[in-house]
Amino acid sequence: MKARALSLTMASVLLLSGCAQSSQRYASNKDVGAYFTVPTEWTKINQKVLHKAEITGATAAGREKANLVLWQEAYSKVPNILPKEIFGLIPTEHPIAFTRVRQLTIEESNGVSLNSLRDLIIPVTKLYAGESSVVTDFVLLDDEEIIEKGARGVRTTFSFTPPGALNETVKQTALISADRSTLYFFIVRCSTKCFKANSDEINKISDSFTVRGLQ
Amino acid sequence: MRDSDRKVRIHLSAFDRLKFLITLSIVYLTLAWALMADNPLFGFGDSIKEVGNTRPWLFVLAGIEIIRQIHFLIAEFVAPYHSGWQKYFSFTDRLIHKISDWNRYRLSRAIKVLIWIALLSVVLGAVYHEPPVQALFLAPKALWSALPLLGQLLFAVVFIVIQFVAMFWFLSRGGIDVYFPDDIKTRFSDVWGQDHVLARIRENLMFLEKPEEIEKYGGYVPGGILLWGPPGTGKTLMAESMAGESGKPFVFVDPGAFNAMFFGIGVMKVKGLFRKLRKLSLRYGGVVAFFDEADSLGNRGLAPSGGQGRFTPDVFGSSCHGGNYLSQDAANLITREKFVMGGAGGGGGGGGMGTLQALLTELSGLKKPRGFFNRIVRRTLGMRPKQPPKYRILTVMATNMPEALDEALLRPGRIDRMYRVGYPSKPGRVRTYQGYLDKVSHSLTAEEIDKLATITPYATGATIKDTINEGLINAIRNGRTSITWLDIIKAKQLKELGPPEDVEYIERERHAVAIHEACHGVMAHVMRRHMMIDLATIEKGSDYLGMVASIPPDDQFTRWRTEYEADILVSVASLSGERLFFAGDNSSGVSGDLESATTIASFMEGHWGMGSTVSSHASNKRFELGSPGGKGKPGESAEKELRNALSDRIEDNLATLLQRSEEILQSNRNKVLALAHALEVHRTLAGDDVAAVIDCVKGPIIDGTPYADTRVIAALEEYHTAAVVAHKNHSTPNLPLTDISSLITTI
Repeated sequence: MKARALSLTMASVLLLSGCAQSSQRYASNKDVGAYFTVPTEWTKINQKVLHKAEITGATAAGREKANLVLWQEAYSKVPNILPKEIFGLIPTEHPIAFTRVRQLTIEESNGVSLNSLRDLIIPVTKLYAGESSVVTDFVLLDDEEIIEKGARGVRTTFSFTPPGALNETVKQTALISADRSTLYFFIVRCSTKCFKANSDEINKISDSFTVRGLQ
Repeated sequence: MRDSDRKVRIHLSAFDRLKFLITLSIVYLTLAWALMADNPLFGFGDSIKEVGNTRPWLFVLAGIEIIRQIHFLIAEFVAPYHSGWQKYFSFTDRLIHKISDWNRYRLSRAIKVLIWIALLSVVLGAVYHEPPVQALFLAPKALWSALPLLGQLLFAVVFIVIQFVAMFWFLSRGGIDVYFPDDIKTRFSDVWGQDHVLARIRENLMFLEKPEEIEKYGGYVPGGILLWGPPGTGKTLMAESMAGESGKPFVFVDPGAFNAMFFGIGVMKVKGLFRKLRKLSLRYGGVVAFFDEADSLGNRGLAPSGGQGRFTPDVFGSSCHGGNYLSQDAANLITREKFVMGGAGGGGGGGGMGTLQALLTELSGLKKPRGFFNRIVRRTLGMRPKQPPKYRILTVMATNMPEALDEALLRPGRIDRMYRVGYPSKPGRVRTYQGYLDKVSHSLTAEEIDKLATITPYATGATIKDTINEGLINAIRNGRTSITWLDIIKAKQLKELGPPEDVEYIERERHAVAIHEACHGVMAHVMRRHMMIDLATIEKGSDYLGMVASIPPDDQFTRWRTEYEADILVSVASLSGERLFFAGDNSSGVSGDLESATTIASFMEGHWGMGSTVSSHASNKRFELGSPGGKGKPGESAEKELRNALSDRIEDNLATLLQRSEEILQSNRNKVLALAHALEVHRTLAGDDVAAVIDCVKGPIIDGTPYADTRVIAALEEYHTAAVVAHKNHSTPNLPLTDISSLITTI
């Protein structure tokens, strides 16, 4: 009788829970071993769209690099976000998340350091040392080293004002695989105002980024 | 009740109700697990939800199953619903039942296998992130890569198992010897005195050699023989001669073969033995398996219930008809009553631990197909296994404790025939004596050999061989190489009495013992015709002072009242004689005589209908009826009539016989004195000499004629008087033992 009740309960729980929505949206690529989550209501911009935008009008070298991308995906809190908003540095009104996993060329692989990982979108190290004046109001908000299973790197949070735009805050995670062949890049950003307003959400998304390495 | 007669559908068990839902749940959980294993960020709750969102077909299947179960549930309780459904939709059933049962079973099995494969492929697809069909082919690949590990595990298992296998293999060797025709030279002609059993065994062997003689008429070759009887009667010799005579292989099974240190070895041995027997039987068209000392197989501790009244002759003793004229039930009742104590004692035994059971099933188990190829390969190919051929195995068992054998072992089909190998008949004994004497040098005549066979009624091959050898030793000790009659008689006495203790009686005691034995001897000679005196002695043995041993002159199987009365007279003669010759005194040496006399008298009065009542005391006692009173004699005193309890009647009978024996001895006083004298002089007399002394004729060794002389008797009487005086005063008689030869010369 007990077993009967138990199996009935189990079946019905499974049936009911199956109808519910997941608590968050899971982005993952098992082949490259990279995972993160975003809130369920976020919108996804898929790899094909991003790739197309990237190679359109790109140089030969740029195309070559674009072809080295293993996985890239972007999510935005609001729909209708354009690829160029993803790739550009112009701050958005709502947070966006973007990940890219790319194979490195031998030269790149040889030159990788924690600093070079910090400098992926803007020269953070130089700005921090006061050796660059690309932007005037650079502030390093946080910097920590990350060690994952199969990769290591840094998570850096900083704010700056791109020319002709609002001040924006970027939380970027950059890791290099243990065999130094692959770069894992994950960025969550929006205008500083928006960042502050959504800091919990953004931190959660950024912390969820998990790398297990190439399978 | 037939299915079509039911008003409602038969109730499903809980498991049948839920099994598909449970299976779906398990698939569901497995898919969720695969998701969690794939993505470290997934929690249990989210993975469950994710599976639900991505695989709606699971819910479709579950929904169909639930609807089906609800349908069943209604059909189980609502008769109109059920009958309506049956009416309109039973055509599917009819369609399905058009297919034969066997095909339907195969079809349903194939469908079930397909469903399982489909489910498996879905699960594997989820695990491998491949389309289900491809995933199905990836699984063997994973298995392939896991092979080295499996190999290691397998090696560990094999390593452990192989030690046991090797150990058990070595332990299960031995104890079984196979002989082929002509390996053994013993023939039936070497077995003497058991012709009736031999004839039967010969018949069994004949059937084994030519099974078609019986099989073509629809019979079968009897599969088992039990030879039972006292030790030394030639059971093993018989088996040996079977081995010698048989044209089939002969397998000897040692009695200790099934005793094993570990549980299961005995079973393995039995199975191994019968595998061998079957193989030999097929190759040579038949085989004989001989289990010596079969009682070592033991039994399962059950009281034999008598079965077919198998040992009834023993139960009914030597009575003329035994239980044969009773109905089977009545005979069994008596047998059970008698055997209930004895049978249970033989439990356990050497076999034990399943060995006996294994033997029972091997002897007559299922007639099942055997062999790896026959059963496994043929069945895999969809062919029916071949039926086993006729294994012609003749099992022969020998034992001297048939009651220790298990009841089930002795049933027809296992042991079809039971032969009692008793003591050899007289012609057999003559033949045996002749046979063994032919091997040595001797001077015995044919009459003497016949006489020897007569005076050794319970001699077996073994004891005869031994007696002759002892006779040869006697001859060699005396510096001869040829055996004489005297050597044999001495050897026989030595074997029967054991060596004398070389105790010298003091004179008055010697005389008393001689008188005691002489009374027995004279009474036996005068009164008892059904037995003859074998020997009389006053040489002290380990547990007697002297003895008069008697033997039946013929093989006789019935006993009569007058014979028993004569037995009692011989027994009580010692008491009446001692009282007669020693003025009312008597020794404690009569205790044994009185015990046997009382026993016989009790049986006569209470059991054998030789007293004043008819009913059997044995039955009366069992039913607690009490024994009936004797009739008493009319006109006797009231006190006499009251004395009619069983023990009183026995006592009365004994007293009457004691009185009679005293009268007989009184009238044979001279003969008693003569025999006592002869015993005092010669210590031991052979039967013929005892007769010679009593009848005052010339015997083989002793001349009895002087005892006819009245002066000799007077001298003996004189010596006796002196001995009685010495007896009273605990002194030495004032006369020496009478010397007849000096008397005769003076006559």
